[in-house]
Amino acid sequence: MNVLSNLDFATAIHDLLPKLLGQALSIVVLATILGFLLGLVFAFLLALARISKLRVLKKIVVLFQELIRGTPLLVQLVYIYYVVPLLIELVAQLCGAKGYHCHMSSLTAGVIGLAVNYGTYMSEVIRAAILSIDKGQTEASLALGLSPHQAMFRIVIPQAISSSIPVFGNYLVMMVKDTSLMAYITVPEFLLTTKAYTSQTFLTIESYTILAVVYLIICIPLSILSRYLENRTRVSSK
Amino acid sequence: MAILEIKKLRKSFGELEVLKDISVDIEKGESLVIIGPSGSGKSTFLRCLNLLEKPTGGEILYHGDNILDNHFDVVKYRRFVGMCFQRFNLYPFMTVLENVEFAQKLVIKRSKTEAKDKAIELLTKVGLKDKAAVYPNNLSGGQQQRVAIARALAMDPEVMLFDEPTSALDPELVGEVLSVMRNLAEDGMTMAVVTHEMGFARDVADRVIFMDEGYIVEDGTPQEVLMNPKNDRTKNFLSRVLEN
Ligand SMILES: Nc1ncnc2c1ncn2[C@@H]1O[C@H](COP(=O)(O)OP(=O)(O)OP(=O)(O)O)[C@@H](O)[C@H]1O
Ligand SMILES: [Mg+2]
Repeated sequence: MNVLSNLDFATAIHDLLPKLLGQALSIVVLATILGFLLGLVFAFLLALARISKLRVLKKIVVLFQELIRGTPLLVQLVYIYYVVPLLIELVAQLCGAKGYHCHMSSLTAGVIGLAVNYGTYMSEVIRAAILSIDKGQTEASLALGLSPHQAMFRIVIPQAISSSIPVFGNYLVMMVKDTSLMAYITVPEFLLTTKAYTSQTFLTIESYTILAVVYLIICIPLSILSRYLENRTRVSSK
Repeated sequence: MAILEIKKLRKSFGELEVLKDISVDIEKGESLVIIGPSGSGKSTFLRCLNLLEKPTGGEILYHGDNILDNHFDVVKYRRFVGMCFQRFNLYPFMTVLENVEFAQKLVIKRSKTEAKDKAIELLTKVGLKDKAAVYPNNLSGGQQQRVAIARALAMDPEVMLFDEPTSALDPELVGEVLSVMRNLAEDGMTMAVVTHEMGFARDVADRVIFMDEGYIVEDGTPQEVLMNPKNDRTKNFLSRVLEN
């Protein structure tokens, strides 16, 4: 009884929630939208490179994918934020530009990290979707006089995209949750904001519970939406 | 004059030689029916004619130009050689009308209204004008194949290739597709048709060829090939087909 009476949710909600739903939320939304869109573009480029006929390009892309899949996202974020600027400065120095200072904001690094990591995984989704489109679609298109390029971009890829949409939905939900990793590279998103608040107030139970609930409130509707899309595409492809 | 002259055509898939020595001319306005047992290379032959397969030897002359020449514009050529497939291959994400309009706009650069008028005209011809706004998945197989025919005709082809257009259909739907093809032949379309429908071969074909193991074994009028085959392999095949 005594322990429970020490809980002070009212204060935590009053102080922390506005912070979470203010700056932190806008950062999470921005990082997710930018990271996801850039990730999609990147995924497309990788997928096209993988199905192209250029052997060398294919090999390079496969190597890159292994690199990304073989390391944790958190490590990638740290690498991009702390190491990549140093590498750029190093290269600049080697090229003779002395005193060049490379600055990358933590949010920029976070967005790039999310985009590259998710883009790599989503590229395999897109590639599989492209390969799963019936060869007859391409053949019929060629027979009508479309160029191979037109058949790919006007007929195959639109169908591949629409069959990948539900999977993309799942990745979007995952990305919202993975924005929390950006706390480690000092992006003031939900987790870092909450952490800062608890270190001032010691309302640990309250704060982190609120944090979890905020994630749930964002992610559950998104999950439901993506499952709805999944069912719809499954029905329409029958 | 022949639209297509096929001379000593050969095609191998790796070690497997599927077409060994195919020579045949396809004359303007002619309906050529190709029959033969499964695996004899009929589909491969048709697919070589619009270069969905690349022949490994021989020549295919289109109005005298060798389409296997490196300088030959294959993409442009294919427009003049329409093809209908066993499994229709309609675009599932487009309506029937859009299926028929699409390549007209993209390949021939027809205007919206031109493409639409042409599409409606052809859909009327195949008896599906009232299905213009429907998606292909909501049509029967026979209807889908008729849309596929309209789609190919929209490119104003000089030759139409049909690869077993009715063999994926329920028996009661075969007739509607064959009758569209019959009308097409009567209108003077040049056609090469792979089919197991012997009635169609007998009534519509100007010429029938029987293929077996990569060779043309028999070549003549329907009367000659279907009624009085000279070769034993043809006789065997026909007796098996006609039993069913
Ligand atoms: N892309 C390919 N790769 C390898 N082998 C192939 C390929 N396409 C066809 N073949 C082989 O070539 C042979 C002839 O095939 P084809 O499809 O031309 O025969 P078909 O006369 O059309 O037979 P069916 O009546 O069954 O349609 C078959 O043995 C087939 O397995
Ligand atoms: Mg075949």
